[in-house]
Amino acid sequence: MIISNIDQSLEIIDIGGKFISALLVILIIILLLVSGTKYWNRYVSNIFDTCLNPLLLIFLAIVIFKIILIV
Amino acid sequence: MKKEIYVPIFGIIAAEGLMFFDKIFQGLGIHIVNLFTIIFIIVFSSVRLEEKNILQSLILIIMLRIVNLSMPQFFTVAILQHSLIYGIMFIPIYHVINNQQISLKELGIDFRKLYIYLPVAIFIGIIIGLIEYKILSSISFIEEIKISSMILISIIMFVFIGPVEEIIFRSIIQTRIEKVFGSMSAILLSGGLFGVMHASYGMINEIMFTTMFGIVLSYIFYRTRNLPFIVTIHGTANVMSFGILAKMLI
Repeated sequence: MIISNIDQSLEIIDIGGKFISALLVILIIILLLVSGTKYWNRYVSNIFDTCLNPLLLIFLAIVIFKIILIV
Repeated sequence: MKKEIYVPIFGIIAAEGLMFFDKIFQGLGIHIVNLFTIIFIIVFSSVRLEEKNILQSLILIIMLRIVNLSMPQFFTVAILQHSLIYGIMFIPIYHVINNQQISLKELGIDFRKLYIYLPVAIFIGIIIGLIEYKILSSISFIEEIKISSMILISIIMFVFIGPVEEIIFRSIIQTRIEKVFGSMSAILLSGGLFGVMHASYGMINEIMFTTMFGIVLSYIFYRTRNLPFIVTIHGTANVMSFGILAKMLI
């Protein structure tokens, strides 16, 4: 089991959240830049799906978590 | 091995190495740089399709670590947190399988001979769980040994953790590497990466054990091509190590 011992403290979530938010934004920018070029194809599109879909879910989870903390 | 393949593999090892020394965010940073490197290689370089498939498979390892470190802790019970982290990993796994048109046979989804495989897998899993507990002295994931706790830990291990890790390392990474570098390299590399991904425990014994465990599982998968078999071994070992033994032998 790969993940069992990493301490999921609030600090880690906070910094990890910033990391993935930045990652998400940069990936979307790269996607937009590449999508109109000759390099774009079904395979490349799927590579971005592989990265972006779980990141979007994590981003949503972080937003929900922050709202729960505030409420 | 081409540099387009070994540079990302080295990146994963370097990132996990930093996590071994408790430099979690530096490690995460390396993983993210590595992810961009892989994407750029796939998009702009002229590597063969089989090599691109290996690179896309490596993205799964990186995503697993990123998801792990970024998922907010919704549950106070640690074991439930794993269902969220590993549950999300089914999405990129689906994309990889879909993109590379990996067949069920190649994935090892085969339920024949289960009447032989299951008891053998449980037996092997118990032995490995005992060894792992000796090495790791695992912290228990359950409050006490009762039916509801055992059902919960079994669901997490057999439905989330076991299948996700085995599909990533055996069904996808091992079979992709096999097509380019041959069976022996595939067994050693997938087993090695499996071990490296346990570096965050901060114990060299654990890395060595999980590397050996990974190589054994990869070899079993190579011989049987049966995913349920290795998932059962993995799940049983984890239930023993993080559930029953950790609670019984305190």
